[in-house]
Amino acid sequence: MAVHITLPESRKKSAVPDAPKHLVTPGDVITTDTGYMRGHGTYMDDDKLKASLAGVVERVNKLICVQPLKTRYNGEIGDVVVGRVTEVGQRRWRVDVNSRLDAVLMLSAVNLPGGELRRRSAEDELMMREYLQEGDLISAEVQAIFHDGALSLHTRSLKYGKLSQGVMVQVSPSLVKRRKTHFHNLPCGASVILGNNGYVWVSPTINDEKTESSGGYEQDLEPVPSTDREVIARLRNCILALATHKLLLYDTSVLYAYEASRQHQVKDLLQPDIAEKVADDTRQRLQMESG
Amino acid sequence: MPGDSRRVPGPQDSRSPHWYGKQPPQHQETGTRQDGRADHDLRPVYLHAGVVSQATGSAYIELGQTKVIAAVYGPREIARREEFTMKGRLCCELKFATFSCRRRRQHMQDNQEKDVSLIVLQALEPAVCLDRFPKSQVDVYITVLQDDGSALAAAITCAAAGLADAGVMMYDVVTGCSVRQCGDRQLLDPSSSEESSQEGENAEDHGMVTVGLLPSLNQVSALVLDGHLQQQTAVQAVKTCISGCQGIYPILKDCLVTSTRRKVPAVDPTSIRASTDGQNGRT
Repeated sequence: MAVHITLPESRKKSAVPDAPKHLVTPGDVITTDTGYMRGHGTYMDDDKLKASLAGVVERVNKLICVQPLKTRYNGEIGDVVVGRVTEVGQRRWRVDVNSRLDAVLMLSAVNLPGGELRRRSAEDELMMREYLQEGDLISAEVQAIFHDGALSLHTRSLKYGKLSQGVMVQVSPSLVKRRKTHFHNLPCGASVILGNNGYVWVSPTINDEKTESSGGYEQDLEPVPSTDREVIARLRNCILALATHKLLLYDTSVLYAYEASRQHQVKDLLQPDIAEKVADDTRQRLQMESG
Repeated sequence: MPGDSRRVPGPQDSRSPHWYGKQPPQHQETGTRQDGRADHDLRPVYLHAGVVSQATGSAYIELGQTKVIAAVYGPREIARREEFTMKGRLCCELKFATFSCRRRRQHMQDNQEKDVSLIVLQALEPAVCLDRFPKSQVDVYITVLQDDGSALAAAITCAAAGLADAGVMMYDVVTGCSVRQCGDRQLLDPSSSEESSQEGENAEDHGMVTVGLLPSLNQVSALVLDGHLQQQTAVQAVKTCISGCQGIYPILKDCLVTSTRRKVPAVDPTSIRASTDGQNGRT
């Protein structure tokens, strides 16, 4: 087995034109003008508007807020998330979604196997562990937000449910754009779920007919052929390369990164200089497309 | 007595080599200190945020030869929730590395370290907006890699930089500074030889003061006094510490601005179009 060893080297600054930004630290005075509304990341002290986060000041007309560059995921209703079950409780599962608090998946918010529509009984409660156990990965949609900020999830559509074979990549939540759909069947031979919470799931192509009858709880544990495995590994390395260079993740950018990475070996994509090259190629191609 | 029972202690009649070593010379009477500083000079400070990649936020500080690293995790779910609370929780754990002091430290946290952790927690709590993350907790883990004096002050500053790097909402950062009173002399930011020197032991004033300050709000969040000080001298020492803390504040600000600038994502045209779709003010 070949091992790749490099000495530490200082990180190169990417050659991106720096727009002058207003950077603040907690306690900094943003403005003393009282005409502004205060947004996220600010607080009023006497007449002064001060920052409570380290980040970039953003101004939209009369609203001033501070955008931190590293936050936990803050859920919105309708977001698609990928999460891991951490606890099986009374009529609910607790799911870790990279947020401040674990999200809650109520028993009444899941589809029973076979697609039955009925009241959940005591037997269903006892069988909860048969459906989802601690450590299982699921894809779900945010249904509501509790008062303290915890999310309430549901898997009421057949495209959500337990995830079977694939690779999970953790990136920053700010890199995943909110779009119409987060489930993509890429032409290169794999499927990708871009969770809004920063958890991305890469798996072999999902056949739509298979999931009709299962109700989202059957796990497909058939062996995955090695060509599919290579595609999935390449996609995972491309997503990590894009995330390291702070490029937004959506189906087009992931596809362009995959095509740009074709000339390299899959394991070479983990090296920082090759990852940077792939990210640069993707960025250039996206800029050309947008004109 | 809780201790590490798996370690084999040395033989009973072994003696530490430090007893037989030459004592370092005490500071001269000429008015300068051992390292050539004036009485009220701070040591050169190096502060860098974002050093621990797996933590939510982190910082590394060097105050002369004192080296401290802090890692912040969270806000995350409290593992065992006993009572319901609408305020978040801040947990602080400080540890001196076993090789950090002149006498080798234990591997487990001893009483002095637990005490210092509590002081750092009391220094940081007023600065953090705890009501912004109910039912969650933020963990701060501080490790002192080398203690050459003012370790508590360095730990406070380092932990505050780590919290700001982690994106935890704060009213203000916290800076720490300490002063050693030897008789009539007031030494700002003492090194470890100055901290443990016996000069002026028989004088009226002999002690050490450490202050944690919120600089832009000008509020003191931690005050520790060790030793014997008269009232006037103590007040004077606290004032000196506060001016020392204000002196460290611009360094802390600069460090956070630099680390924020490093994290700013690449500007690509597609992202500008998406962000004007009305999704402002949120990450």
